[in-house]
Amino acid sequence: MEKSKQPLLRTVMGMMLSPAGALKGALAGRWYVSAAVSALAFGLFFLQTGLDLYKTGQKDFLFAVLFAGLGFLYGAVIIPLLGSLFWSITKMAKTQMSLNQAVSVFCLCYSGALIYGLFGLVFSLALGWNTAITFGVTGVLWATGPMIHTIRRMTEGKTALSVFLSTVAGLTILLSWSLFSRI
Amino acid sequence: MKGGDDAMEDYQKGNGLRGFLRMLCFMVFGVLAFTNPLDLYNPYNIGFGVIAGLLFGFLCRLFLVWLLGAFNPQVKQSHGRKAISTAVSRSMLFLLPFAVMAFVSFYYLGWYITSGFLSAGIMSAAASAAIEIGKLKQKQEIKNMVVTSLVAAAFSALWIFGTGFVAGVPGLIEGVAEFIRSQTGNLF
Repeated sequence: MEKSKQPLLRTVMGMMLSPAGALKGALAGRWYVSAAVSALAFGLFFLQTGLDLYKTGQKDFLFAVLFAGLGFLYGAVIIPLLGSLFWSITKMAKTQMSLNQAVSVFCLCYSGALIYGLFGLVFSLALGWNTAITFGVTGVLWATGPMIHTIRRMTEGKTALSVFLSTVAGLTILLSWSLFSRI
Repeated sequence: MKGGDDAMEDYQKGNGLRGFLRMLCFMVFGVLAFTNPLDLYNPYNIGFGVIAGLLFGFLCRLFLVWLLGAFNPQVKQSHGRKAISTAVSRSMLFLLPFAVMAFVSFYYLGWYITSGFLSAGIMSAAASAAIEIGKLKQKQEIKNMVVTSLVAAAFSALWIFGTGFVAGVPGLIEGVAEFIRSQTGNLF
């Protein structure tokens, strides 16, 4: 599979704006750098959820900080694990992607969520807005698009299989995230 | 994509099923948008949602096909009249994960954020349409990505404002229907 090194920032922006085009560059990335992207994205998202609860007096500030840590762990562990799981499934469909590449692009799918998270945090801290839904959820939903392109690439363009796997991936993230948000 | 009629025939295979799934997705989005969480099985809300979703989906697909056709006339010449329409149909299959997630989040998790799922879904399907056209032309072009993104953004905005604008219509229909029913009840 063709590889071309690209700066991380360009890959992050590319995955948000044009995932299909950015995938080729993303494949050359190191998985732990990509895992940092999803870890930060979920860390910021969970931090905003905690801050919203703190601002409305439902939780204290320590909860917001701990919840951000939980989000960081979610992005650093669950997303790479999900990438590995889908790699092993698509291995049966004879994917040419390596495990390292699969985990790397899966994590980079959350590039958009990271950008949304950064903007959300600025609005939350500077203007006191509740941003978990407006920026956080939108960012995480946005990640489904690049994930579809990633899975399509992993299945060598098999549309039906990639739609099915994308649905499973989206539901897994949605339900696991809802479990965490009930803590 | 290379090849003549056989390759195009293969490409178009499954158009019926894809069309059904696309309509199902838009129906789900429509029903979720107009369903009242306190009255989940109101037939007026569900019926209006189905019609609104189907109409929206029809217009969205029509615009994508029309604009992509206008910007890529050579695709029609080399692959036939239905090539662009098939490419858009294939890409709209990617609405399915978003529709399923929206359904689960609405009925199981109690999160009523259908427009977020629809916006992300349309954007993703539109980007896939640009990629499908790129496959047919054997080169990806930024103009198609821009065109499809603009259509997706416009239709997301139309959905968000449109659903707010007509939110009271199912209630109005229900009121009129109840009035007619009460009057006909008085007659007999």
